Amino acid sequence: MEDKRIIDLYWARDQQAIRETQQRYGAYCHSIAYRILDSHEDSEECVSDTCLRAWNTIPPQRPTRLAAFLGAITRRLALDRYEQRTAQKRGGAQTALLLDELQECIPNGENVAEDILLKDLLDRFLSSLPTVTRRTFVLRYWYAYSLQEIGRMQGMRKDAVATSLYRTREKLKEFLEKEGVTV
Amino acid sequence: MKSTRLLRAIGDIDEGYVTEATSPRRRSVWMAVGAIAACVAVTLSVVTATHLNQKPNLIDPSDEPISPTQSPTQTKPQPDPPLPIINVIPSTEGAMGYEGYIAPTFDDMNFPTPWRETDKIQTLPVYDNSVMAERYNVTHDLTPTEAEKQAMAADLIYMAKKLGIPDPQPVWNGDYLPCYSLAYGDYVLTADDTKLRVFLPMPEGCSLETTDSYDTLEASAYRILETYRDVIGLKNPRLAISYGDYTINGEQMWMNVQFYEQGDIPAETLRNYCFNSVHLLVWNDSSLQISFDRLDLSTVIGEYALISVEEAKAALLEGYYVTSAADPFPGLDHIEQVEITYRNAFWDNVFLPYYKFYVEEADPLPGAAQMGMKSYATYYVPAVQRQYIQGLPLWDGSINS
Repeated sequence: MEDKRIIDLYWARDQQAIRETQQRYGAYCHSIAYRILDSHEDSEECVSDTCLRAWNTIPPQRPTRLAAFLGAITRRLALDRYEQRTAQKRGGAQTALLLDELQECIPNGENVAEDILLKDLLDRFLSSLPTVTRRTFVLRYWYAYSLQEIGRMQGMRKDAVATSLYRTREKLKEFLEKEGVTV
Repeated sequence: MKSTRLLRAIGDIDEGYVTEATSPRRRSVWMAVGAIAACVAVTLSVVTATHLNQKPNLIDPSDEPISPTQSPTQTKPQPDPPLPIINVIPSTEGAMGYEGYIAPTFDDMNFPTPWRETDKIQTLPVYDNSVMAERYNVTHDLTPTEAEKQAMAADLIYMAKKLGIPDPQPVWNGDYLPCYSLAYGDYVLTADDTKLRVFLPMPEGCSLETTDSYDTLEASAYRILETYRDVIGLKNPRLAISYGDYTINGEQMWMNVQFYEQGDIPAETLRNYCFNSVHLLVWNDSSLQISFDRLDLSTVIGEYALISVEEAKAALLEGYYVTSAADPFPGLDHIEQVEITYRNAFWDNVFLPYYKFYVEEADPLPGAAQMGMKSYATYYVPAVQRQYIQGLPLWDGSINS
């Protein structure tokens, strides 16, 4: 079923919307959660929660890109779960790696950007990047793909992916410094 | 931990970037350049431009179809002097990116081509594009010559007159973007080294959204053709819709909607398909962009005899091929489709015909398997006999090594 029709079902409060979402995007959302959590059981729960969250937010929202909308919800839920698990000292290794890498981007300072400003700054920063560089960054830090996987998807060597990400992280840090904010 | 906050904030970036990242196709740099140029053009006021009256190099004002004497197959192979060796120089800048497709099965997709093995095309021309390739790969200076600028302007003026724009005066955007542009009412036109673009109102009831169904695209394309037949300017238009590739988000999308001229003979039709197509795109969410190829085909290196499909398959098995896939050719039983096409990115130093094989990957692309789908890569074998080619960047297993 096309996205527009699925969203119409949500607006009509027809529970078929959830079944259609599960069918069309269940595997996709599961893969996002799994890369963060490294657990099929937890990922499956994230997918169920994603559908519930979508049910509660559509309406009033009417997403223009349903996949990205659902993926963002799953990602947030998976990170919530990751933090709970980290507190219990059983976090996903891949996510720990991402966090280590992102730590390099954070400038020193006291002026912490608010959420809305931080989102705006990230959008502006991404818009300034060449397409391939931007895709590489998003595949790594939004989708949590490994360097090897990104290499295959982008037609790049693994070391070229690592270099690209390193430079982008440096640029992001410089950008935030110029804007006079930290995270 | 601060990095946790940053990781979460990245989750809220513009959805367009999220979708863009999962599209397995590469996009032309010039698409972006042209798009920006259009933005620039919208804000332009009319200024005086150089008087230009050179004949357009793309569009013949007489609207005559291609003369049979210009047809590639009418140029007989010349036994004396012998055909030159074709030196293929790999791009240092542009040829990045994986060319592959994701779908539940190959039959869920559609890759149209006018080429048929039964047409038995014996020869095809090879074109020289070394001037443009050197600019892009070596000097990194895309500034066109005066003659090229005049040709761009002439193409743009020709199109402007078709649209009924009185006294069109193109504006040169040379400082930043090497293109001419012109804005008039609802219309914006741009012309650069490789494309002429016309931005127009989308006809009512038409849609070219990325997730539209094949039927919607087909109906819209014919409606656009009917509305802008004079702008599109083809005598015997044929529609080709490349369709059905999935993103790893599970969205099925179209890749290309194009019209091309049916030629008098198969080789001419193939050339029109590869080099003179008219592409339809949505622009700025609701407007229509009609894009014309304007690659320079004025220098023909020679007319070369073609190898057969069976010879091309043998070359695949030998490892004589070009690909952006991570893995070597997995075997003949993985081939889904074959066609002859030109690799004609503007950064290539020659435009050479290849057999293009669509091949199911033994190890599916990350994300595809999780979606319960397969991935298909492309492998190219030169359609010209091997003794005429040197420097071909063969697959050597280096990707992801």
